[in-house]
Amino acid sequence: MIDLSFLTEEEQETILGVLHRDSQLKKAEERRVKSLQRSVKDRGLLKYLSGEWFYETKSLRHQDRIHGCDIIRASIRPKHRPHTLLELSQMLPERPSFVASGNQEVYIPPELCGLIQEDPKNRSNLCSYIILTLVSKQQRKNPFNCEALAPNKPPEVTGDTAKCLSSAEFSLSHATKPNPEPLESIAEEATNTSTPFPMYRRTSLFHSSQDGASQAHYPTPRGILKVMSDQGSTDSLVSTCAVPQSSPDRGSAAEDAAPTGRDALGKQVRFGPAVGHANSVPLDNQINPAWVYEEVKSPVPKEVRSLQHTALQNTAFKDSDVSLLDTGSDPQQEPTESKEDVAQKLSNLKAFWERENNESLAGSVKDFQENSASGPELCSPLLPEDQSSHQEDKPTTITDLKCFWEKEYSGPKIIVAKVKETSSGADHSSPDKSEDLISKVYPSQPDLNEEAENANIISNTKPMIGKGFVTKSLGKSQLSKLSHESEFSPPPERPLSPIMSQSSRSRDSSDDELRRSPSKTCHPKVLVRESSLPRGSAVEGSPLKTFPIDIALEPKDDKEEGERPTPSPRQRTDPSHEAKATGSTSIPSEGFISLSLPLPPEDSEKETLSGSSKMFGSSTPLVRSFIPDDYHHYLGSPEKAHLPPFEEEKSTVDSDMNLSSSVSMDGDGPFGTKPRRRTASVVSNLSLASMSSVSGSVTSISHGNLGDIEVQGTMQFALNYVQKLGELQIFVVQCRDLALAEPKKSRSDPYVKCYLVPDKTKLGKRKTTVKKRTLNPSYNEILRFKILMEVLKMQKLNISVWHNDTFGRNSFLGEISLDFFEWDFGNTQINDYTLKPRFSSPLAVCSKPTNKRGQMRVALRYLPQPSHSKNTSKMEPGEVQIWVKDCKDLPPARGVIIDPFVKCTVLPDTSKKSRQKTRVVKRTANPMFNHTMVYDGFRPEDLREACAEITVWDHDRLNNHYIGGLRLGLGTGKSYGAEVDWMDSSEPETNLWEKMMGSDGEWVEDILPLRTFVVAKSMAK
Amino acid sequence: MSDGDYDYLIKFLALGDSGVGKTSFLYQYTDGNFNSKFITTVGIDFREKRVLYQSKGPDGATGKGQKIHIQLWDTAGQERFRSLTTAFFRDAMGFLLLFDLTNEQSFLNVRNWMSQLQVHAYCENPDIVLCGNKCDLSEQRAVKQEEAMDLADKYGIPYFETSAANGQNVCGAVDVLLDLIMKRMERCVDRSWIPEGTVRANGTSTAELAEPSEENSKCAC
Repeated sequence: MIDLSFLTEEEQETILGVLHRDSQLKKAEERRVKSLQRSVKDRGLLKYLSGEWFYETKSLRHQDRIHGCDIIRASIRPKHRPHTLLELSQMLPERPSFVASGNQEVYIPPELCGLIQEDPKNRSNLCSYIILTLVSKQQRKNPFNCEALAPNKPPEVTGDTAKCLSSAEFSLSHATKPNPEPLESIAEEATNTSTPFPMYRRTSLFHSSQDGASQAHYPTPRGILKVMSDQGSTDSLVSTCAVPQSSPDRGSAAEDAAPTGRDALGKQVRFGPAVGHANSVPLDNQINPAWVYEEVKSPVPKEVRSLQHTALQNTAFKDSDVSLLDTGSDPQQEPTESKEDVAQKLSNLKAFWERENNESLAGSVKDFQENSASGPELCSPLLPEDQSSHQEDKPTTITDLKCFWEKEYSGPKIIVAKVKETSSGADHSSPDKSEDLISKVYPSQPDLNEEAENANIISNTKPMIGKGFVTKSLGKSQLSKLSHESEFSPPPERPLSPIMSQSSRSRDSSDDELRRSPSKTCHPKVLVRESSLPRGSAVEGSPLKTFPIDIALEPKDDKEEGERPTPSPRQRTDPSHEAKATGSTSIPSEGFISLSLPLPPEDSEKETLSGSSKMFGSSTPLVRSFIPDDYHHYLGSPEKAHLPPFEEEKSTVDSDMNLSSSVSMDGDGPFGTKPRRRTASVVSNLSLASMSSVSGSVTSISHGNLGDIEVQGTMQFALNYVQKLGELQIFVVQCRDLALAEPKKSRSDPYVKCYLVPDKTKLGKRKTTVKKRTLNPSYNEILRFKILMEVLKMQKLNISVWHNDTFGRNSFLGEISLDFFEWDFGNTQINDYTLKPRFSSPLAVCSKPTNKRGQMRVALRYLPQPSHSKNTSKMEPGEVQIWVKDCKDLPPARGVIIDPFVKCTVLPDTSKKSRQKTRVVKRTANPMFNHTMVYDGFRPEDLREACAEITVWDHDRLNNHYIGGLRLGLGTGKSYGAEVDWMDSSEPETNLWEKMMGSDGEWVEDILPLRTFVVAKSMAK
Repeated sequence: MSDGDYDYLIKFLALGDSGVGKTSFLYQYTDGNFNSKFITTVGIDFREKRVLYQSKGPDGATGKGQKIHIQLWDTAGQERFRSLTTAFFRDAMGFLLLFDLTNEQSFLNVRNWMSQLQVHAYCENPDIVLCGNKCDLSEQRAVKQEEAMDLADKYGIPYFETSAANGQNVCGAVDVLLDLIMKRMERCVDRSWIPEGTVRANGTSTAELAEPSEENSKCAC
């Protein structure tokens, strides 16, 4: 969404005129493409003729297919509110513009088109007008702008996309006017936030929370309203977005909302049937996943069951709905006043939720409660263990709220998906509904029976309608919007994930402390413990462990403490965690589990994903607690929003409703970068972890039986670096004229393998599939490496063809090496390369750059008398202190910046006692350690025989990787008379050691180049 | 105009500082006329033209002509419309980057425009043609041809000295751009072998996730 408020009316007219012309052109184009699709069979040619090539390329970059003019139109629209109806009708037809290319899948979903078409028909209809306006109003949250997050998804996902968009937009609006509103709301929320997990408490608590929430959001309305008006655009996309929003208003579930509307109108009866239909629909596969999801989340337990069995009882359903609605509807209309209502509603929700849990989860509920209980302890003493006594407590309220929230979230998501369909369904089913909305809905229901999906949709849409009627006054609608916003606002904040920041902060602070005061101890062991404990845990990524540390470090802020309890967000965000599937002991994981439990079995495969999405949702409240400053801080980095939305992509691939729902959650935060990034890293982590074991095969590169087969033939591939994804893609097309690997059988089973060198070990290799019995294999596969461009530039591509021998050794069929340093990344064409025999091991080739191992600044001193022993004799041994200050220019490993730490052993003692290490400094080539290792028991003469071996390692959970090291000693080759290979100090190293020996207790310092050597035994690992 | 009777719809976009003659350039290109009166473009506009494109085969033989419908987006150079105009960058397949040969600042700003393009265009290295406009006003010339050539070389893009007033090089510039696009398109389409989904799912695919574990089990090669 763009702020076009500077445009005058006239200018807007002009621009809209242009846009209109453009839309006509696009329509013509669309027609052309459609006919092309019919007439042209050749896919390649079609791509070309239809311009799809362009959209594909564009989608690689922008992740969406939104046209600039659509953005503009959306941005302008609001000003013309009065004409909305007319305009809408005019604009809607333009919608197809999205479809600029023929590929329906990629472009606009047909459902949307249906929606679009529907509107024009009803143009004259007052009801439709209302709907539309409603839509436009509600849309504000749903902005259009998917630019940042924009999912490039197949149509089925569109609903989600829309949601994403909306959230994105929302965030955008925030970004433009970041300070006042968000801050305020946040502050409000912060108070609330202290509650860790949903505890089921009294509903009465809800009041306050609700109140707080609404107040918090009040500020926002202004901004939001404006945005909304902007979004007023009639694009079908937008309209779909609007629907989801409406549902959030409603309170929790779509169903709830629907009933509300009915109540107000007194049309409950009609709605009831619709809902019932919806229930009966579950079998429809398209909707099913989403639907199920919704059901699960929806407060009404019965629904869930009904889902599973197609046959349902409308009445039961209805009843539950109605009751919910009664309570739910009020809040919307008068959010502020309706505390009681809200409370009721919440309680209902809560009850439902609980029931649900009990039914499906049984144990999970307990977990939850436990979590909540433990959470408070951990973080905020304020949290009452006793529910009843603390009803007034805000924290509790929050939890409730949160629950509420979660539900809402799920509701909207689902709804979105359905809405599209609904609209289309409504289209066919009720062509003649011009009298009034309700009547329209009504007639359509019979049809709905026939079309189960439609029914679903309709039920969802109804809420909107109902709302429209109910809230005729703008003010009210605004209020409802506010509530929307309140619900929506969290997402933006969520991404910021205070927790994350906090943890990082705390870590930093700990770092700082360390830096400031190089720890000094007489006992090596103590040191080790001290340094390794916090570090280690932090490294392991288990938030739990780090907690205590955090607290100790900065107990100052209540709010912060409040945040602490919420390990779950962190966990979510923490990749390693997920990868590990950490034990149930950790609060977060429990939360995760319990959350995901509600999912029906069918979804089990996706459980993780959806679960995570839920976690996101649930985390929001916590996130809210975030402190304004921090918020600011995070706001400051909106660029992050451009980070590759891995999650989205992932889910896109699966193109499943559930998955997509999780996506939308992610998308919610424009600044959602944090979590998203985290999740992304999960992926990479996983792959990393699994790949590290692959490294063994690397040796094949250097030692393979290369000479056996005469290399011949060519390979065709293209390289593309996708900046947005930080990913190198290698399109392996085909090979031609490969050598015969097994002349006897006269066959080759070739596959293509590639490495980025020099860092094969950690990034791993990528392989294509094996093509059997061919010398001209076609692969058409894409091999991807997630790698930063800067790092990539230091790498070489080694791409080789191998014959896959099931029983024997694979044989080398040729290779190609490219140096990325010289590579023109603009060249994304498919090129033919002649396969070359392997002359030298690529390892050797790459070892040159690796020669630069960086350097370390280290200071030494020898204190003949330990300071603490006053009455020591001259013979008393002294201590050697090694102050590892920092390192510079450490080489990247495994294609990424390393997580360095330093180990030290004073040889000849290689025992554990002798080993010390620093903490791990994350992701830097220039770590600052400022860590002092102390070794005692050294007589002056011992110094001549000893050697301090200081090595730098890249921390890896599975296997640390050696970077380089120093050996500080005299380099005599002997120790206590024995020949030792480790006494090989270089000249500068020797110099430093000698200086230390003569420095008389003063620090001597030098910057020494790291080198490689075989680490003295038992040091390794 | 847009009856759909064409083989390709190609979208170009003209950009550059205010007053360098983008509108005039396009007007000259599509209509062959010139109006010296300065009417600032409000936000955006576009013009259309139908041309016949003779693709040249690899052997140099000209293939059959293809009907191309060119949509030429005209953008406002004024700063205040910037947010609006940049939104359109992403939808253009090729760009005509104009500056005013009589206005050095407009030339200096080419750099900015280029970076804008790199950020907002549909890909990082879109096809661009640099046009030094108003070359008919030789006495007021403020930018040397060599400078402009150097800059264009630096970006690896073609450079033309054009005049919207007398039409010099106007068609030439657009034709070159069209040629670039058509070539790129062929390159892109050459990749149509890439299986559906792989290209589009520009992220980690599930397959990729699974891949490493596979490698674990069978890592021999």
